[in-house]
Amino acid sequence: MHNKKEDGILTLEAALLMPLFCMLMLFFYNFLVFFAGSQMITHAAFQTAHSLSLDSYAEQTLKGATNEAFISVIRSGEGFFTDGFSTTNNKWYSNGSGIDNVVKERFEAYLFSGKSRSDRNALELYGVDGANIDFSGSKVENGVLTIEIKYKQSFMFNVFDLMIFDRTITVKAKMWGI
Amino acid sequence: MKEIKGRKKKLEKFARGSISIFLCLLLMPFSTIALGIIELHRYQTAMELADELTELAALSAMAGYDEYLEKRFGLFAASQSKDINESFKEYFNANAAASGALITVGDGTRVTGKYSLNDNELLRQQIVDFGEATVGVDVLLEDVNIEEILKKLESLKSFKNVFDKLKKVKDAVKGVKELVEATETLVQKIDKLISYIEGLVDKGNELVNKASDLVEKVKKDTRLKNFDFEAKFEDSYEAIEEIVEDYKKDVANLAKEAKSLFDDIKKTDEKINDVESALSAITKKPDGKYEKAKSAIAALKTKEQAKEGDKDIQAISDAANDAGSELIAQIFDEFSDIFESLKSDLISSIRSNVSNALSEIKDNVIKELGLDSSRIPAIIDGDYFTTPVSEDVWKDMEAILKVLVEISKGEKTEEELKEELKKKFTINISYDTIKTIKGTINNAINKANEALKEDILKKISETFTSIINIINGLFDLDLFYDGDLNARVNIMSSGNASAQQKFLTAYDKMNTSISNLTNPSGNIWQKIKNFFTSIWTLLEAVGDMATAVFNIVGEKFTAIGQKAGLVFSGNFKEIYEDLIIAGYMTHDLPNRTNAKGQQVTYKFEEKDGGIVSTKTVTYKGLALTGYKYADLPLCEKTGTVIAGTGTSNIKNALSSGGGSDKMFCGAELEYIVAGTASEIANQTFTFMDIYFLRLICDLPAVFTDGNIAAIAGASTIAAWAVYLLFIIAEPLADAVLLANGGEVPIIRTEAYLSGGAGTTKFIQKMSNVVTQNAQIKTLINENVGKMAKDEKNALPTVTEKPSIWQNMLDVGYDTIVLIDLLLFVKADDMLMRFSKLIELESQAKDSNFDMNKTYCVLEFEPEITFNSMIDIFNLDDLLFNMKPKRTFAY
Repeated sequence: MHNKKEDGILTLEAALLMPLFCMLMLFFYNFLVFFAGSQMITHAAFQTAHSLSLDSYAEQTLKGATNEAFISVIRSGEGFFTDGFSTTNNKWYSNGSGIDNVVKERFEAYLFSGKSRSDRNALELYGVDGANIDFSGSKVENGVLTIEIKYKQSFMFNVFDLMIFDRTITVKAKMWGI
Repeated sequence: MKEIKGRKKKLEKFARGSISIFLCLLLMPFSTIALGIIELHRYQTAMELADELTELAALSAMAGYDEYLEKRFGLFAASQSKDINESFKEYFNANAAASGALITVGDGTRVTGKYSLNDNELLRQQIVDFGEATVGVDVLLEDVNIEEILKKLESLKSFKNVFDKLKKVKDAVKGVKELVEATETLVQKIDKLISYIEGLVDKGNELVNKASDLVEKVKKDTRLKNFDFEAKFEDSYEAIEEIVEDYKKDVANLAKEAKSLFDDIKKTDEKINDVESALSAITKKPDGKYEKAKSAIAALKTKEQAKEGDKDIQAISDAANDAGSELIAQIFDEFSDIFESLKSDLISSIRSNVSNALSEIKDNVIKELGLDSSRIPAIIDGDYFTTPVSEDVWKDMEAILKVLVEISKGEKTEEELKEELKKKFTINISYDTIKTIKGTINNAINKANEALKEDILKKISETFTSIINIINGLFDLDLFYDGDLNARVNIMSSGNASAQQKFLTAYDKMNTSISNLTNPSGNIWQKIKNFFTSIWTLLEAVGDMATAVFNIVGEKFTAIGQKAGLVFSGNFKEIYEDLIIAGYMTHDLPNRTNAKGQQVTYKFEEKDGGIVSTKTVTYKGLALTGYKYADLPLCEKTGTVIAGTGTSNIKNALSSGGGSDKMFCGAELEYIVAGTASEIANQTFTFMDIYFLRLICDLPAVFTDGNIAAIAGASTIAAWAVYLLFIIAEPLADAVLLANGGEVPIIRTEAYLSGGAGTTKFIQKMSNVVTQNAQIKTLINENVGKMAKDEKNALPTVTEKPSIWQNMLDVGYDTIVLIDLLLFVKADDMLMRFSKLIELESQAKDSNFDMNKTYCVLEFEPEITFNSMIDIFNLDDLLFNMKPKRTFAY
């Protein structure tokens, strides 16, 4: 005898399991994207640390430089260390304030590879809240630059804002010349 | 139907959970693949991250470079006091955490240093890298205007011909020297001949006296009446025999001397011919070039011509060269006149008079003695002693006794008897002839002496002494050696001052010969001899001097030509690095003009003449890197300060090893130039190097200065020596100014020491830089005032300078040393010496410093482990362990 109670059980089973399955698949995908986004930020942080650690030496060198052509190349930032935003003549590392802005500027320059810094939407693809990246923890102590980047990163399918994570990346580099 | 239902039910039972099973089956590979992809992605990321982290950690580890090397020299090398390996691991792991600890670095990590700053190529590259930014090649090319300076120096190359001409002088000197020696021998022989003749006269007189005594005895002896000579007068006979024998020996010696004299006359004659031909090679008659040169120089006075620039410099150097060549030709022309006079007045008179004298001896004296005149040539040829003596003696004795007997028969007084005997022997006639010869020679020599005195001694004595006084006064170690900057290096290296020492030795020789020439002593013969010796020594000294100057200046001209050629052809690439290195050395290292100041004081003990005193020295100035010279690591000083005037001190200074201390003290640049362990040698060598560079740069001033030409004109045949002395003296004035922080034009057209407007400028400049200014002012003023001038023979002074010599700023010590380094010191030598400086200073800071460990290249070999998401059976260590090698260089 046909048990009517069992009618649609397959559908039900499918209805119950398929979302789980899909969610699992999406999780894998999200994880990959999340990881890629995270690595992008980390990579930019490393490059920023690399670049900023040479600022002090570049500034020192410029101080003694008499070769105007050399100075103009450095100042214009035309591909000397990086594509733009290479250095600054402000000794940002000496007074302790404003370091976050310098880090932010350099970080964005690397992150966007010299493209428009207003194009933060690209970060959205990776679930990074580009508008609210916090560099305030960055500092220079005893000649060591510590870049602390705090940001929020969410999964693409962020249901009920449950998949938002607070991320903190800390990169250290020795400042040249100080 | 039931069956169908049953199957359906069976199917339903079978389908129950199938989706779960299906999804489970699907999920397994999906999950595995997905996890695999994720892990693969992580792994790939880890690989990239390993590179990135290695680079960042390496950069941070390398930031711990040797701070002193960087701050002091702008050079980079791994610190020897920090553990780079630990530093690398620390930064690596700290940053690896930022990436979620994908990777970690293990204890097997190794950092290996390679290639130290001892490697010249690395050192060169680092200096060039640093120098490109700081030395400012454009500044050197535009402001200091190296190109223009080289162009100007190159334009002076035609002056080289003047030195070529001077070099040829030495060929003639050899002949002149031999002639002088031959003449001196001749004069000595004549002197000897005269003494022989005088001895002969004495012997003759003795003979006469003894014969006279004998006659007296004969007259008193009654046995004479019997003419029994053999029995009665044996004693008188023996006496006469002895006298005659002696006399004959003397005559024979005289004949030998005469023969020797003839030989010398012949040799002297040959020498005269040699000298004549040697002189003729360089004494072509002036063809008016000198006058043309004067006109050319005079023409440069006009502004229109002066504006033509390059043509002018060529014209003036050609003109000066022509003038120099012609001047030398004229000098030797006049000099050959002196020798011509010597030849006609002295040599010819010697030749003819001695010949006559010998003829008289042969024809009269010996003949009168009763010797066979046919034997005279044999005697002259030295065959006298081959002839049996006894027969001649008997024969001569008989002849004399015959005369005596004849005399004894007459009634004559003793005096009359002596006169008779003298007439018979005609001794006085010959003696008078010889005396005449001596008188003739004396007259000729007196005449030559007077002529020389007129031409040289009177006219040049004061001038020469004055110029020499100035040169000697300026060759004062106190003026260019600063004892406070004493050597502090204990490594002897390869400074070569032999050329400079040869120059100074030649100068000393010239100085002595001029002194002897202008201060003859002794009797007239000694004076003549001294004069000839001094002339020879002077000529030889001039030859040596010209050779020394030629060698040094010739090398410098060659170096200038090579560098200038590169610049003019636009091939800056080859000279670019040398320029940067020379500029770096000049501006990064302290030198004697910029080290001392008022900023920092330190004390040390100084041993001077055995007295230990405490001295305070202050230092100022900044290196190219911004490093304060006052912060240089200074060691305690021991050692002796050497100072004093005179070239012997300078020669000693150039050759002194010394330097027992461990550091320099403000004169490192001089070490780069000279490369010796002795600070005094370094400072002196640098001074002399600058001196020779300035010698080239001052040639226009010497050859176009009207005052020098007037002084040379007054010195007639010694004009060449006047020019030579000013060539020596003028750059000395520059070198002293420069070594004391003063400035001079790169090419000078105004003489400082000839008494013109330039002298006033020089004294003024000197008063600003040296403490001995009053002493120098007196030295210059007193001596310049004593120089004789002959205005009518003067070249016109160039008051309007050709444009190419204008518009040049004065150069100081830094610039002149820069040019010196660029032109004359090999870059490799500079780098080698510089690396020793680095080692010395760094060891003063840190005694453990080892130059061989100043690694500029670091090879990082991190032991990286990839941390997988799920580490099963500790596979990470087995499968994901790697040791990539990355090499980074400063």
